[in-house]
Amino acid sequence: MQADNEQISASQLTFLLVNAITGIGVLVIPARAAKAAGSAGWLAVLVTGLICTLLVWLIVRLCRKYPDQTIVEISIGLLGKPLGLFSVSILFLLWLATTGFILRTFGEINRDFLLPRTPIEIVMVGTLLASVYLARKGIEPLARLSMVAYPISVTLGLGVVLLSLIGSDLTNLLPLWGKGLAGIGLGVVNSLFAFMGFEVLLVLMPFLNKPNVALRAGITATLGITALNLLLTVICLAAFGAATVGKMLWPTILVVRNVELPGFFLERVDVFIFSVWLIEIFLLQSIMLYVLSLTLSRIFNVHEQKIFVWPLVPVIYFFSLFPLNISQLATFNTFFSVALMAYVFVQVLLLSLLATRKGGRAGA
Amino acid sequence: MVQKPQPILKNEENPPQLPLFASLSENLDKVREILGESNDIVIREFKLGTVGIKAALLYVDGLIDKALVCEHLLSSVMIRVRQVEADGERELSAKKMLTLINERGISMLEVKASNDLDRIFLAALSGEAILFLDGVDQALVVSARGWEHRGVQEPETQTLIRGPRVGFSETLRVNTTLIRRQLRDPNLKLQTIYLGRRSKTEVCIAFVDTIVNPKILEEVRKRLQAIDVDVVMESGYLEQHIQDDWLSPFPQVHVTERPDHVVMGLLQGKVAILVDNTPFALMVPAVLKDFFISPEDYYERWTIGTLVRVLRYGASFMALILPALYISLVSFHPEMLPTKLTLSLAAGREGVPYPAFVEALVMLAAFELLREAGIRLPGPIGQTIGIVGGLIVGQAAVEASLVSPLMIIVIAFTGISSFAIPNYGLAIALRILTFPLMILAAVFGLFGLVLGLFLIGSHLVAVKSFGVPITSPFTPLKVRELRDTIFRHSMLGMHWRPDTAKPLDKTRMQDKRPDNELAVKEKEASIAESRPRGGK
Amino acid sequence: MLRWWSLLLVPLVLLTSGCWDRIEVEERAYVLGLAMDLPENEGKRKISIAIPVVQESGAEGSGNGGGSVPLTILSSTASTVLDGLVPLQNKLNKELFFGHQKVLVFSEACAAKPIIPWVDFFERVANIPRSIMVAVCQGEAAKALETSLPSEQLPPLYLHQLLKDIAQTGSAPYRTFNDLMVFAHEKRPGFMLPLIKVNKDNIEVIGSAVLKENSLAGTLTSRETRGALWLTGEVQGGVIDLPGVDGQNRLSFLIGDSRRLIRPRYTEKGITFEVKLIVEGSVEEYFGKRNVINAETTAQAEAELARQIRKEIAGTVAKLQKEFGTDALGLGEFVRKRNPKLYRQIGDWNHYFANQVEVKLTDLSVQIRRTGVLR
Repeated sequence: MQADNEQISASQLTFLLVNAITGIGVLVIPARAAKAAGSAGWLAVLVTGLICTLLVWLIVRLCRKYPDQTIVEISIGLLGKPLGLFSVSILFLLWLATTGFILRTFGEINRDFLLPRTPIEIVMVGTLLASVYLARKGIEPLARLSMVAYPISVTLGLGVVLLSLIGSDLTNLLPLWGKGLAGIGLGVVNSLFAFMGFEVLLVLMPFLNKPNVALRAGITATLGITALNLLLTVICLAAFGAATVGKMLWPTILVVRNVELPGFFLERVDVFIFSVWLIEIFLLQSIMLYVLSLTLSRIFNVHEQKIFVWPLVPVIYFFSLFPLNISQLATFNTFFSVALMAYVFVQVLLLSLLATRKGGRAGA
Repeated sequence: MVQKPQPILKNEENPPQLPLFASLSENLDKVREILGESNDIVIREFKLGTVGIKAALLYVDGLIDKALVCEHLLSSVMIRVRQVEADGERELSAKKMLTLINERGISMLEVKASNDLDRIFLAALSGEAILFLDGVDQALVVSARGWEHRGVQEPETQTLIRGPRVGFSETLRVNTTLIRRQLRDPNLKLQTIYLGRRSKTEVCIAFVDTIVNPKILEEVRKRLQAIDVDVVMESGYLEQHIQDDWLSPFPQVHVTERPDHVVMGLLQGKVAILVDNTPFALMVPAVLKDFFISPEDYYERWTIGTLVRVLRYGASFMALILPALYISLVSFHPEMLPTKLTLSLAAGREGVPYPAFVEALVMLAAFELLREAGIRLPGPIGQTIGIVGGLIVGQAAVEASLVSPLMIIVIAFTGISSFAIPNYGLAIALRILTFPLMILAAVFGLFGLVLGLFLIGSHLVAVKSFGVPITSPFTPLKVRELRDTIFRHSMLGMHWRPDTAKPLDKTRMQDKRPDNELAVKEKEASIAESRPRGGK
Repeated sequence: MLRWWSLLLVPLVLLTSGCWDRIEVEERAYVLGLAMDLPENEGKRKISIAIPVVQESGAEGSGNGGGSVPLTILSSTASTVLDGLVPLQNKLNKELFFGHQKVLVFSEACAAKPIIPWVDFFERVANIPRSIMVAVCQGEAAKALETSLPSEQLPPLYLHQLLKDIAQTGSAPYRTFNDLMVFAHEKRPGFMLPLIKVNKDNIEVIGSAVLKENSLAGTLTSRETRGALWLTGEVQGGVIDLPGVDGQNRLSFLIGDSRRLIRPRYTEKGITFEVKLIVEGSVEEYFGKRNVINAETTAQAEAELARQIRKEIAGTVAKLQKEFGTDALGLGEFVRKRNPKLYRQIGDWNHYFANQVEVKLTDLSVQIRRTGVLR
């Protein structure tokens, strides 16, 4: 039940995954990690990255047995129709909720830095509408745009962020263990939010033109994200010190604002960062919209994925309006990201066990 | 009876649509009936042979080379017949006479026989001379084309510093000649079809047989043959019919006036479409990077080519976003500008009553207006208007405090940047898209600008040209080809053809650079040393 | 049919209801500098902002003419910064905009009271850059916002540049707002801020103010400040004057660069910080009886310079320990980062620093690399 002949290559998948993960996470992860783990925040990030790589391996191991099926079909095949649909619906709802909260977080950041007076509703609706256009076009244009947008974004963004290393104090990374192992553990939990997104692999695997490279693609994606987050955390810690970073909401942006290129025609370079990051957010929303609509189309056994995009828009919008204020939003973000990771872990593990038991037979 | 099939791709039909009569008078009546009393349709009647078989020559005055017809067609026919009859064959029948003329009597180059009046009309209206004989239901179609046309000149829209100063002309044959001159490969094939019900415009499809991908060729033929219109005035008509996405502002077909451009495309496996009556040829499939390439990049060394290309990419980006960027920075995010600039900007805008968006909109509209006006006006006046408009009106606007000085600079740069884009279609697309981007920036600032760019990106990434995504080789990524997109790779490294048109023959050159003398000597020396003594 | 088309009016609503955030360049009041003074009511602060008055200059077609741009200073007194901005905004026809703020100045009196609570506003508001320069001013801080050299256009920009180039003379530390906030959040024991004095038509950097856990512990002269800066490794310029090298000549040494290496040594009595300092520079002025610098003279000069530096450092350390009881040298950070358990045990580092810490200059080498274009 493949969607026409849409296919993506391994590198395209890598970029898709990376784009699905990078979003708000890169902006908040230094703060979350530092608040919990102190100057060992970077260690927490590293550990989280490794955990997610492990999860990716688990996912690929499961999905490789069913090369043409998304998680929907796999679940139905292994658990039977009612239970399978139920388990996938929970995943779907978790995705829906997190997409909505990410949208809201994005709106809040936008309001702080770019458009203080514009009603946040307008910003969120605008973002959704922009994403709808791309989400309806299918996976190939999505993959193509990811491949183009990400290298440009990363180059510009990292380039600017790296500049802030000048004049920052790397000894801020000491003491090595920060707030101790408990702190690092808490840091891991809080950092999961920034790594969320790779589980879309569960529905994207069927589009690969060569299923064997899925593992390489997935691991490249998570390791890349880990490296990025690690670098950002180190840079923020060096520039501000753990206590300050822990207090900030969006340390990455603030670290960029610290950068001054006196001879350059743009004294402040945060305009680059913002443009770059905005594109990432739009892409993220498009990918999530696509994934959600694809899941729905498989749940309802419909061939067309496009038609589910528009109905999703108001639902995501509803979720984004849910949190009352920014503290509540942070709590929701953490809670749902952990829930999503845990659920994915449990689901994939369970299905893997069942698959091995059933001898790896392809589902219905 | 001589009957050679016509090499017309469309409507290859036996039996004929409108069969000839055997009687000359009936034929001529038919001709007069259908072609009417136009005073440039000439029927020259004469008699051949001792029997005096009636013959007639049909042609359209102005389309034929009269000297050629007189000296070679008429005279050779008449002389030959008389000669043959003088040699003993008396009283030739009409059929024999026709055969005789066709095989031995006519000193013209292209001679075909036809028994279809429909085709004869098309031929006559294309500049061929038709020879009718009384008593035969066939006529000879003799090519005698010659009309007034613009000679081969440097194309006005695509001038360059180095390279052949040759551009296509309005005559199809001239154009195909120019291509043949540069590409003497026997695999270069030119195939003609006639499009347009009333115009019956001659359209030529050109491709290199062993390179082109047959699937693309087939697709081209399919789309062309599906065109059913009254008239094909210009290649633009065809372009708009065969393109993949008519809603997209971006061109999906490459248009060029230069034969060397076409030849380069053919060698990449593209299919060229040449249309009679226009010097603009089409090439498909076309991807975005083609719009930034000028063949001149390859005639100079790679450093120049790279520099110019980077400039073009930068220019197109600027042409697209500069006004919107100005609006968003000035009206929404002045903290991103240096302080001194912000203060001087504020000083400059202090007396201006309109917000930056209105300023930008008005000035950009004025600029476009000036540009259009400059095109319509003849020669020197057009250029003067440009200078007058740009300098003086802009200056006056600043002094009247209608716009700020920086706005003028921004608009000027936008305009100049859009001129730097080699492809007109792309330049127009970017100019159009500047306006919605400005509106978005005016409402949402940087967020709006990036939103607009994202939408444009999403759109571009989904557009295909004959099955090839228009954004390759950026995505889907083909690293090997990237080195000839923004940068121009050194000539020595270009071993493979770009994958755009999915060519069959991938290699295009091998590095057979002769080593310089010293290296050769050293190599020989080392070979001599390693060879065992005593052997041969 | 009509209803379908009317949907297209919706985007127009966006345009007419307002581009909410569109505030034109000339419609903003750019706050270039902010100063805080202490009024009679010590629970409040007097906040002064410096705003340039933008003149229309489009008439001649040239954008930015020469000459000075007039400045407006507005003040108000309130219990919080945000509260204090309200009466200021009430006087302005343009919207206050902090995105281009360059300097933040506290008066000495103001710094004597805790200043950390008062800077929360500047950190919390998104638009204010963390790279603004901070200084403590002798006397009234608001004056620092409006004084500048006659040739300079905007006083706050003058002050900003002055503070940015402060490392040139080694008289005061380079401190941005970010540094101040790091000090605050990390709860570091001590901190130095540049000290400025407002003269009639210029602002002078006269040394530094030492902050102890939030408020002023005392001030150091520029010489004393340099003594501290040797130890923090921030000396990259400045002059050491030797009145009597080899008894007869006067030598002025221009400091080029300094590098320091600190190693803590833990003893039962306390901690000894062993400092290794390398100073490089050139002789830029030398006159006296024999106007020639040879190897012998160089060696003598280097020795004498080393003595001077030792004296400076010792003097400052003594002052910091005995008089201020504050570790403004960042030594506490050394211990905290490398030996966090010990640091936690010590508890009150300033007290420990005053009594049980010794700073020993174990290795000081001064290198005179160049002597200008004369021998």
